Amino acid sequence: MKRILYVVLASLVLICAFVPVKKFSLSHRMDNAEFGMSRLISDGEIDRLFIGSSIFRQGLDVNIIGANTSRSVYLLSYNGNQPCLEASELRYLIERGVNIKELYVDMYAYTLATEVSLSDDRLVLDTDFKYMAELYKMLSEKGKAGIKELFEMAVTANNELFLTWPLSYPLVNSRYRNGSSTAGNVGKTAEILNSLPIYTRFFNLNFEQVTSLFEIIQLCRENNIKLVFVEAPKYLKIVKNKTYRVIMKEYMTLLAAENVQMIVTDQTFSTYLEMKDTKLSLIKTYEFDSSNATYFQDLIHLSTAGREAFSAALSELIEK
Amino acid sequence: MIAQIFDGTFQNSTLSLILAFAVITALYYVTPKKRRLYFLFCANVLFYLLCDYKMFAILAAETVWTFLCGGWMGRNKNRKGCLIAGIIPVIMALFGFKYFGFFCESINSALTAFGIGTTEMTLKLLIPLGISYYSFRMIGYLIDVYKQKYEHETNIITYAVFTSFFVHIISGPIERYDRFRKSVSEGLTFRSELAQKGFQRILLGLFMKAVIANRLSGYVNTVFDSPGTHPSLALWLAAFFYSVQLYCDFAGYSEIAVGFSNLLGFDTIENFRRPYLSMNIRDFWSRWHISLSSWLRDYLYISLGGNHCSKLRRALNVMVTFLICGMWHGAGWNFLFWGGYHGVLNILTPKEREKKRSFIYQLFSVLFTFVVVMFGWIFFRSSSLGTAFLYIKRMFVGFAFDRNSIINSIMPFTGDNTCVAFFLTVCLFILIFLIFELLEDKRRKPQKSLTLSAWQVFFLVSAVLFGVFGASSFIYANF
Repeated sequence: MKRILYVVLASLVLICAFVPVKKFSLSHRMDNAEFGMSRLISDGEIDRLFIGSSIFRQGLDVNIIGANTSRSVYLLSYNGNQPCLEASELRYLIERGVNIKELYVDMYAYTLATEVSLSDDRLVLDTDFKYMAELYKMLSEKGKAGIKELFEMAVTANNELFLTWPLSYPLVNSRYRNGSSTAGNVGKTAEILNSLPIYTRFFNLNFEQVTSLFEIIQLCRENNIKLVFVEAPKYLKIVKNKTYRVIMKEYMTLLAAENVQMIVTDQTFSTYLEMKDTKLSLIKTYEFDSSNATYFQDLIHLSTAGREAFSAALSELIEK
Repeated sequence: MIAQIFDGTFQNSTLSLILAFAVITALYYVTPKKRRLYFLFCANVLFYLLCDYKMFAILAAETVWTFLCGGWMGRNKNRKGCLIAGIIPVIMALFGFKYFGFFCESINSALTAFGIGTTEMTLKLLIPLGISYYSFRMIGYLIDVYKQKYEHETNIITYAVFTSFFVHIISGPIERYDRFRKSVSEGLTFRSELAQKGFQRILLGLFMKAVIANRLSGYVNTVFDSPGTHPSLALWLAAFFYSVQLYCDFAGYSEIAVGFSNLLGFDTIENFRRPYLSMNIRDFWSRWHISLSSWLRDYLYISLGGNHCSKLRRALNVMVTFLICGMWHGAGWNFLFWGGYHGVLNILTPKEREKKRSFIYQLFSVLFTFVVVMFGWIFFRSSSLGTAFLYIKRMFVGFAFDRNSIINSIMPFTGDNTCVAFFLTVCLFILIFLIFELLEDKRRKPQKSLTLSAWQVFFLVSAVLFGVFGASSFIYANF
């Protein structure tokens, strides 16, 4: 019995020591990384910041946008990034003195309807203990985070990265430039894309996500940041999806009411035109062939060809 | 945990199971010694009801019936009649729940192929939890009583605890009655040395299940579910990882089950003895799922005539045993083929003589046996026989080992840039586990207590920091 007790005690000590060691040893290692928040904080200033989910990471090459201008560009992306998390990320950057001039936010309809949750552990890797505590408080108040989520955030998140850092980090970092993925992704065929299901569990706007949307707007106003919401192209099956169209319509109505600028595809714009109270001056559109399957690796993520086409179209619009 | 009980997934969660086992173990020692057997009986009933309350009646009925038949056998002159009367309902229940749907489908397919039409019989039933395990336990008991290996049990509570023992009900091992009875007669007391061994087993099992098996399940499922969309290299990786996953999942649960049995004072059969270090297929079957393979040997193979017959008859006995072994694992042609595959390999493998072999020979033999077993697992994992052959074909056609293939083969781990870290982590833990297995295999003397404790700390810390504790079911619970 004594030995069992010793084993449990020794293990507990090691686990308790592991958490701060992991946090501190990783905290400054990403200051010069090509992705994540640490690099932004270490630079202290950014002209054009794009913030979003894997849709932006896969579908937007900020280097194409930055090629025609001397302004600095950077993409901050986390899997499933939703307004609640985006607002907390923006607040974190501002509080740490990052000077942002223009902010372009990923306008993905389903994230406005989704339940508040931590969709990417890497967010914990990029930030400090204080942020982690605030994030957990927010997730437990607005979402359903409990002990399990706290344990994951504090103890198990990013352990694989920590363990394999010397090998995995250089490999991963080499596939990024200014936050944009440089990895090549081949497009699919229409047959494959049409056979893919649309995963939607939520059909109505989530109150907490909408509140956070207003928080992003408020933060930008208070800090003099030019704010634009950008819709990345989706495959035709999504664009035609009724839930997507309804949520996008509501999304645009909310932003229009706050006089926030938007950049959307011409198909989404036509949906908006059906509404009575239109504020057309706030909306810019770009043409994109959503039926071209070679532009997509799945229903929402662009292929390399699609990424180049979208980034070029967006660059032109932003420069105008 | 309460939610899991209500949605019927309680037995699928490693953490919930360990917590339940730990609570029962603690309460067991709080209970006065004389009442512990009754406590175990109540715990078994409650545990089964929590896991699968709809099918409890089947377990209860079979337990009562086989207990009565065992008793009649002890008192009746027509022992054979009592044996047949005891075994037939158990086999019928096993066949009905597990294989009836499969046979109906097969008959329908055959009739359609010959253009005769189809039958109306397409009944598919829910399989009672642990039916394959408790049925074999009961049949073993009846045969042993028939052969007068030991006396029949007179206390139905003791017998019911044996058939429904909560730690063995989900994924075995298939315990023998005499071994179980010995522990009961020794008084169900705390045995310090056995408990220490049990604790070590629980930690090892937790490590195997949570750190290795659960970590691999996502990758294996992604590749096996759509082999056509992944490069050949990914198919090789998935076949390798499935072999590791299956072993760590099943042996991991077995270690936890045996560990808790030890904590409760039961000295249980060892179910695995480092099977992937086997030198040939015969050796593999003496190390893999020992409780099943020894059951099939003792109650089926030997009953068929065993080795004491002509070469041809022996080969036939081996084939029948392995085909039944395949069918035990699941109702499907792929399982039958897998059993046949191992049967043929077993017949073709010459009997190994005790001889000192060179390191190179041993290494080659171990690797060769592993690859042969790995190909067998492809049939085991695939949804059908056709899919398995297609999978194997795709492993060889268009095989490439370039940058793109490597990246696309690792990507299914997480689907994003953390896949490299995930892949390296799982490889590292497999390597450490292999070192542990090699050391255990070579060990002749008991481990020094410090080394033992170091390994225990490593298993526990790894399980907490790197364990994946989702609701992924135990693979062998499906059999």
